[in-house]
Amino acid sequence: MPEIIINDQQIEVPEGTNLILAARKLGIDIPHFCYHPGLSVAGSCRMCQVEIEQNGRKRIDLACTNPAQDGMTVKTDSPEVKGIVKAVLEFLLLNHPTDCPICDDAGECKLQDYYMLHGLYDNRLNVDKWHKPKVHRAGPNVMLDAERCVLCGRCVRFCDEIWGEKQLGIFGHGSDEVLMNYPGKDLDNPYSGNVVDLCPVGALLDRDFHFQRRSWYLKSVKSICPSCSRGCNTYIHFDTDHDYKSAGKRIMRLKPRYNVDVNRWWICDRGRYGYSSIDNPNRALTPLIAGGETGWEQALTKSETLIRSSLKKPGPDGLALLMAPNATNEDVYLALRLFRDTVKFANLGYDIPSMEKLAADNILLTDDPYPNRRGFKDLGFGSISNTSEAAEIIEAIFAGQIKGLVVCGTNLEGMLGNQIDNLIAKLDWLIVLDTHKSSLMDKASVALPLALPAEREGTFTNVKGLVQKFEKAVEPTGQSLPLWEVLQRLGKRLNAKWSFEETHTVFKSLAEDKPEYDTLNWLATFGVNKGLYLDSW
Amino acid sequence: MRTLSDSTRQQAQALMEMYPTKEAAMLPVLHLAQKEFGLIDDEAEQVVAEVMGISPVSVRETSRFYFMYHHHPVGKYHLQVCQNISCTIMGAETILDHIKRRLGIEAEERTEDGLFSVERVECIACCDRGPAMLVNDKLHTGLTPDKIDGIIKESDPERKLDHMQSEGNKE
Ligand code: SF4
Ligand code: SF4
Ligand code: FES
Ligand code: FES
Repeated sequence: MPEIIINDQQIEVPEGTNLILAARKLGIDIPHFCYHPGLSVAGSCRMCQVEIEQNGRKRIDLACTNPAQDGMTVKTDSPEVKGIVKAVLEFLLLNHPTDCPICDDAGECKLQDYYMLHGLYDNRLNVDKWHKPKVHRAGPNVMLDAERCVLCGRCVRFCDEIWGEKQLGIFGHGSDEVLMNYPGKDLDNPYSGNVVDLCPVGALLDRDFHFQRRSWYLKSVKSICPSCSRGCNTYIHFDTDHDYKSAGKRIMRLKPRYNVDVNRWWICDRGRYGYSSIDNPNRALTPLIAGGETGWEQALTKSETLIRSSLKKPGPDGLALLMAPNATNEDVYLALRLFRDTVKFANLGYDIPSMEKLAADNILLTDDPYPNRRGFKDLGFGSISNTSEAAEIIEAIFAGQIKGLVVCGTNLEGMLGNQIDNLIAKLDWLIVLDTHKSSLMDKASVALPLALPAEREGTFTNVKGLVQKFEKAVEPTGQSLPLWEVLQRLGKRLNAKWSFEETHTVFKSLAEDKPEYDTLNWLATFGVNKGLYLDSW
Repeated sequence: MRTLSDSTRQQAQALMEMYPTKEAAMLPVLHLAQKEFGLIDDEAEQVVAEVMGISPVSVRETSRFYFMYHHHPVGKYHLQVCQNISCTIMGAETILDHIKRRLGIEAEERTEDGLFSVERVECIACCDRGPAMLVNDKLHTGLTPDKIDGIIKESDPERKLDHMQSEGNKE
């Protein structure tokens, strides 16, 4: 492994490590625009120049294209290097509109940061700046301000190398050069939002975030995308203190969080832009009894009464629980302890042949729209007597064998269409727990509102069996509660012998005899972060 | 959508086989297409992309970088007047002014009848015989206003030149 010296500090790095990465290991940031560890090396922006001394010779060269070689001495802060970096920056900023006050990227823009760190010159340009397309729709999710672009080519390489189709290009010549999608062809690949994160300046922007919040108002927690079984690691960026624009919008955007084993630097657009379901007028806000609003006490008492009334007749064989695999491991665990072990329902089902199979690809997206099917399997979801599939349970209801049904999140309306009323007519009672309003909730004997992942903490097990924790960003909407808490309260009424106060004690209990689950160190995670990205490039 | 003739397609194929990567044949293939279509507009780019089996974005990145590909229609006679240092010293500016006046158009424009267009270009490697220009593929050197008039007359015998006073002629 080559050993080198950077600014008088010695470091040994793996063969092939370039000087930007090597310096970063020492906490030294070599300024760069075009380099990104997830993409090929272009060496085009010229920002990363350093002084390299090797075999008795000194030269100024790029840090991104030069791998560390044994015996190199590198300086990133000599007066000569500083002068060069400043000059490169001045060129890159020559025609830049410097409209930071109206730029969504202000506060997280490399041009701004580098100007403060390495520029600080006065503008010497006394002719007009060149103008380029300013508010251009590049695709369904992304907009472009071509004047702000520094032509680093990261976005171009992302589409080409990661997605596999060139959807953006740099066209023209000299000061005329402009980054664009092909005329008449959208930047519309299912990963298009990543170019916004990659863009070091405010040229490519999220259309949904345009003029929504100044970036420095945002807070951030670590989360897991619930939109497919990959379980990409994300940050939830939220703000509850500056709601001057869109009343009630707390979750402002989702950003990828680096995880080499799951999603590297990327997330897909389905996951990224799916957050609008959280601060949504369709959220279930209060418990309902027969469609009428009520409080938790009354609703739980009613649920208890209904369940108790059926324990003798029709008895366990006539009772069923359906649960969608978007519940967390903690929810599943308590559901099993309550419905399987305490009140002993004979029919527990979750494995509904997915109605909406996603278009899987070999980048991230899987075909399973649920985040925790693996967790359900690992925790042995199912009943002791019958190994019932959801579809069989539904058949049994139509056949009049099942009289009481609890539904957690399962989209029965989507499955059954207008058959749903016939199904309800077959039941003595129906208890529905869900996050969003539905006619099923209105028709249920009791309906209970649930919190979404962004409003609570918990764990999902992804398609590869990785147990991943997510944190709470904002308070549950209305009176909604995390599912495990509802199950805890209901369990208490039904004489359960267990009792849990916090999510992580539930997790501890479920992980006890499961070595694959026991590895997750619950407390070794952060709370709300100030810095938005801890892993930005 | 326009399409390239079979013979041009064959030539393009042959060019692509000459290089380790087909992208390497992009410049000559674009020239072939320009010869056939008269210009490289959006549609021509897409035809070239289809023939070469690469992304239209890559074709556009190349075609828009080089000035020798026309993105707007040029005249039947396309005058490419060198504006680099040697020709300029030899009077290229006067030549360009004369052409503009004779044809009644500005540089980078085309006459209404579609016969002539004028473009300023970089060095065409005849610095020893400036001022120089290309009319389509034909080279003209040691240009004077009279020579220009001759070239225009030769291309379009019907064209009336005398109603326009050229400053170049006054000398
Ligand atoms: S739009 Fe952004 S990422 Fe793309 S080339 Fe310009 S500066 Fe780079
Ligand atoms: S690939 Fe799946 S987990 Fe990853 S961001 Fe997309 S929907 Fe979410
Ligand atoms: S980061 Fe090295 S040239 Fe751009
Ligand atoms: S300068 Fe005109 S041909 Fe070279």
